[in-house]
Amino acid sequence: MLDQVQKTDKASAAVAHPLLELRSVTISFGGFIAVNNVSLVLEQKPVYGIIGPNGAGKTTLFNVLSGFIRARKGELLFRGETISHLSSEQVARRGIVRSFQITSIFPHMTVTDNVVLSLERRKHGGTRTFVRANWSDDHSAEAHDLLDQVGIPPSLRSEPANDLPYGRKRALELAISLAARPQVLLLDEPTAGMTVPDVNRTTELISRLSKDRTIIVVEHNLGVIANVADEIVVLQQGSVLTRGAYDDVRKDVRVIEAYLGKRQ
Amino acid sequence: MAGAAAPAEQISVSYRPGIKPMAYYITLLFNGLVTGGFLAMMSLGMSIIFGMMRVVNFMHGSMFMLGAVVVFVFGSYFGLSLWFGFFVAAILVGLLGVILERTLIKRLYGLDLAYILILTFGLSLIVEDIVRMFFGVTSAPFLVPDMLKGAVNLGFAFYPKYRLFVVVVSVVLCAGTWFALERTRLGALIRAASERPNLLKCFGGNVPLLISGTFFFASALAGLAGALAAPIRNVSPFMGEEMINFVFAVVVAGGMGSIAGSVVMGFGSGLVSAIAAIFYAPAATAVIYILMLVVLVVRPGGIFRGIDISHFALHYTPISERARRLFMSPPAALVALAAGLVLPWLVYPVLATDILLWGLFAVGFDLLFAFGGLLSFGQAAYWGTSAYVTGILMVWVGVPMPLAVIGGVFASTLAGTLFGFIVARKKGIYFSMITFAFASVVYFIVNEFADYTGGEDGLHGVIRTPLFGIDLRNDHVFYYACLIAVGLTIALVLRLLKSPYGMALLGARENERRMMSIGYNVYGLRVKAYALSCFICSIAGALYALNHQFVTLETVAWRASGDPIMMTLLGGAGTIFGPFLGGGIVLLMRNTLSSITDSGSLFIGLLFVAIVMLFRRGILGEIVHHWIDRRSATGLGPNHDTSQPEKAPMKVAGIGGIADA
Ligand SMILES: Nc1ncnc2c1ncn2[C@@H]1O[C@H](COP(=O)(O)OP(=O)(O)OP(=O)(O)O)[C@@H](O)[C@H]1O
Ligand SMILES: [Mg+2]
Repeated sequence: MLDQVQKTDKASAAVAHPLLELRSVTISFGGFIAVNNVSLVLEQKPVYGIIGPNGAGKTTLFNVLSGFIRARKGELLFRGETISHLSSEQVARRGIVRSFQITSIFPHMTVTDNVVLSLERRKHGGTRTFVRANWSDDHSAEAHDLLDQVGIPPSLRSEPANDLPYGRKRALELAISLAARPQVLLLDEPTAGMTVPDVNRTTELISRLSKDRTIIVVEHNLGVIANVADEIVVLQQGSVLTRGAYDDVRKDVRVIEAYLGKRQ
Repeated sequence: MAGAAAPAEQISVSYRPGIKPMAYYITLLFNGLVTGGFLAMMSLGMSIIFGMMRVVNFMHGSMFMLGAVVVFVFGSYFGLSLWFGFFVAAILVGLLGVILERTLIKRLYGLDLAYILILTFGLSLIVEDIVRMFFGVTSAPFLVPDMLKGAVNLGFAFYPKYRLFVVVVSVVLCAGTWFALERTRLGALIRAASERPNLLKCFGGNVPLLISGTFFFASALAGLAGALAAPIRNVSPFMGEEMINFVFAVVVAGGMGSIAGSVVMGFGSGLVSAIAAIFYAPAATAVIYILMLVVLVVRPGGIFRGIDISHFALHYTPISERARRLFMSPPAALVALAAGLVLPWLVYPVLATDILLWGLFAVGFDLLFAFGGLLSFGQAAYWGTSAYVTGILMVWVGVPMPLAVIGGVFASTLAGTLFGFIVARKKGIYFSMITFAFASVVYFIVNEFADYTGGEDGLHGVIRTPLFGIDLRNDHVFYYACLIAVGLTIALVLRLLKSPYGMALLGARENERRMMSIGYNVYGLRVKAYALSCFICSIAGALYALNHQFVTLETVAWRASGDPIMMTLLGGAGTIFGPFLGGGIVLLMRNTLSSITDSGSLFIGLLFVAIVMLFRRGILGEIVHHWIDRRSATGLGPNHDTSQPEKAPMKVAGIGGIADA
């Protein structure tokens, strides 16, 4: 019954409710408060940038949004429905997919298989057992398309993912997430450690991808943020310091202080 | 757990006729405290070592046994006092711990935790077999010093002084250890080190000393516990086996690595066991495992918050993707089939069938191990259950052979699947220890219902009958029937491994978090893998019962869970056919050796140690590594070699990953 109510709710939710909403979410690790009573409403905008000094709680916030850490205090809503109780895989299936700050790929599988794994999960649930031997060929066109998009050349695609150079691993990380075709894509420092051409390609890719979905990107590279983000949220010590357009945020004294320390 | 009787204290109560029943019960509870004292001391040491080094020391049980043996030898041969014996036992066993750590365990730091578990498992086999050569089962009540002879009046009952002494000593030691860890500078250092083992490196020159000291202390505690137990328990080479079973259960239920958890659960288990014994004496041991299972269902992390090792999943990467593909290809299957066809003409057919079935059993284990990333230390539970159910159905119910086999496989797989729902929530070392404890419960049940299972004598009369006009009584014919069954099962396994499910299982082993982030239900994948593994082990077990036409207690004993691990590692984990090769080698060597010596375990233990220390990929794995991986790797740079298990754990599950989890 409850299900029924929620479903009818859903139809209207698309217009009435914000995309994502955090209601006084607090996360603490044994006394240390990493996310402090954060309330945040995110609309169906193309790209949000989240910035803040190291340890501000950006990754922890992503962990909450993606269900990797349950928010015991506070509530999390996706299109008006609570998702606080969902496990990470359930959140992912609803369309909120994250990438990881520390590259997280399947190291011993081939590059293509890394993406195939994600495609198979989205299209068929990922637990099919009795299928024809060359089932993965079904995915190869799409897999190669995704790898093209993130710029991994065909010559590297049948190598174990572990053998990719660092920047390519970051690209693969992105491709795995993209293969899940998310409605909301959470990118945790996607360009960290990349060379300049890779950064440029990724920036372009983010802009392009944001046409069909909302992307929330954590970045230390403010150049990237300036380029892609429509709105910026600044975190400091677990709280939202301010939010707004890049140019406004950049001039905000509090933000400058947060990054550079207080001027005496 | 050979001959695991109820802990001796529970039965030998100092009960004097005429005393009120109430006093009798209180006496029993005190006996529970004695058992609890031993468990607490043992679990404490296990927890400290685990907390500091993330080492699960299977030798801990053997150290208990060695402590008792040392006291016995010094007491009865040299006539030394028990006081001196305590001292010597603690020092000697403590030193043994330090030596083991310095020479062997140390070399495995940074590798997967499973290696150390397997190494110490092998070492305990060696130690016990060596002791068994010189030592039988004895008891040594005469060791009790005069001062502690007799009983004291506790007001409500007379209670043996010595037992009271044991309770006091264990309480004092546990409290002292707790105080030292919580309230002293050294303790702070050790606790800091156990929070973040990598920080140990920052402590500079003191690191080896700190580690050695910890090993010494924990081992000495085990030795002392054994020494304390010597006068009131049977001193035997097997007393360690029984102990390590309990200690695993206690440590897991208490919260792995939690000092308070070990002590509280140690004494708690002793008391619960004593209370259970009041109602039903044989339940004294089983109740400890049941307590553990209940705790795990209700509070999966253990009663106290232990150390979070959830990021220490098994990242055993035996062979490269390329090599795996090779083994899963049709040519490999053809070679294996050819070998299978000629085997019964090379060795006598019953042995050939044994190789086939142990090999299949090992494949069931390897499915979890190499493909699921889960090291089960208790697959004998299913191999044995299936064998017994098949046998019981035939002998006691008169079910026709083929139906009995189906019934055995079904019942055993069902049990495995149900347990799978509990255990699949666990990873890494937890998984190993819980499967081990569950297998102990199965052993207990089989041993307890001796009316049906035959207990120590085994279940006889599981006679093969003709099937579809084929005379399966002929050993050659039966071999080929088994070959067909095994072949079909392997075909099924290959099919599954090549399917999307198989890839997902590998993915979950490689990187669980990533799998969850793209929507995979990793828990569900693991439950299925566990059920599948149980199914395979059950098929092998049912046929094994038919091969020998009787079932022995050995099939559910913990050594039977160790054998497939051995066979898999020897042949090559993840190579599909390696377990058969490993099984063949182990059985042939055991067969040859049995005519010379009866030290089968010694030899198996040595093999374990050799494999873990020298060639971790196993025979097929090493061959492929050298011939294929190396050759194709030339020119692709040093990090092309993906099959280095040495690097996998830190890279994939490194400490650095925690903050990002
Ligand atoms: N699992 C954890 N246990 C304990 N503390 C944690 C854990 N995860 C994060 N923290 C702490 O919470 C704080 C916020 O961490 P978080 O990773 O969210 O920061 P961040 O903003 O992503 O920083 P960075 O820019 O360095 O990635 C840090 O002080 C970190 O040490
Ligand atoms: Mg971060």
